[in-house]
Amino acid sequence: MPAGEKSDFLQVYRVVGERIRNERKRQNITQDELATEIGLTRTSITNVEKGRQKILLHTLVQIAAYLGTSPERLLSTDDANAEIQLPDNLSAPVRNWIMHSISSTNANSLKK
Amino acid sequence: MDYAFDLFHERELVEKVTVRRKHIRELVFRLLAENKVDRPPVPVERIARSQTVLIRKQAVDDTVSGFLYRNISTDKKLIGVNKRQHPNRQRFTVAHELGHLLLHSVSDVHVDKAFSVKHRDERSSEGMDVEEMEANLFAAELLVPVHFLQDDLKRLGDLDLLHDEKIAQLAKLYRVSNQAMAVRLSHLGYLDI
Repeated sequence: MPAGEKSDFLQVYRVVGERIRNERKRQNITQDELATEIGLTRTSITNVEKGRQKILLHTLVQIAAYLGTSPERLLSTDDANAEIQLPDNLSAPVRNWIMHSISSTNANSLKK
Repeated sequence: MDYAFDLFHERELVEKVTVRRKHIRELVFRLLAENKVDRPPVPVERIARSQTVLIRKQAVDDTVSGFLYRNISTDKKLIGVNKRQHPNRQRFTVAHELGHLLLHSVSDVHVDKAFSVKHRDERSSEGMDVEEMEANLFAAELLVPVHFLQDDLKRLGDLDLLHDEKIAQLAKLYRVSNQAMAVRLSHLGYLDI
């Protein structure tokens, strides 16, 4: 694998970090609060959000759960899908229904 | 849980969208003609599909009626309908979301709460109110097209004698609620309520 291609793959940490940061800020959650909740230091959160620290799979799951989103959404390579922001006051079943409908729609379009 | 609420609200704000009223009616006429619909009940789902919209139904809690999604990069369009609500209400949901799709620049997800009047009060932006109103107006025009209604009213005889039974009969024919039909008739000047 050429060096350039590898660094392209490392972009994923920056993209995922940015999504975490956006979602956290949207909900007015501080880095301290998120750090305490998932058992990391605030510096680690900063580094994860900047893509400087390679996030661990279980950390991603924990962060997604705390932010009320899914790891899939934070990881999604489909930007339109990843950026979907639902109103805050939806029930979990409604939220799941909408997100699932949307991702299955987008998945179908990729198969074509 | 009746969409007559929405239609009542529409009446209060009617002045604000006078400009688009004609546009909305013309749009509905075009959709009906393209789909060769010449009598009630209007097949709202078929019309939505004719605009390459996918429809997904699911029974969820009554906090939402439906949603609209448009993927701006792939142009995939999706209308979600809460199957727990009355079939007439589901028809209104499809029509309302189709209105948003054809009239407004929805670039992501638009969720419609079941109690949209309450939802409106929570919102500060008046611009959103106009969009909701226009979607409601579109739905009313699509579900009960004025030229269909004129024909049916001729058939039913004296307009002055529009009583509850006739309204119910019309509502059944168009597959809308009695209240919605009453509001529509009143709106078009056929009935005082």
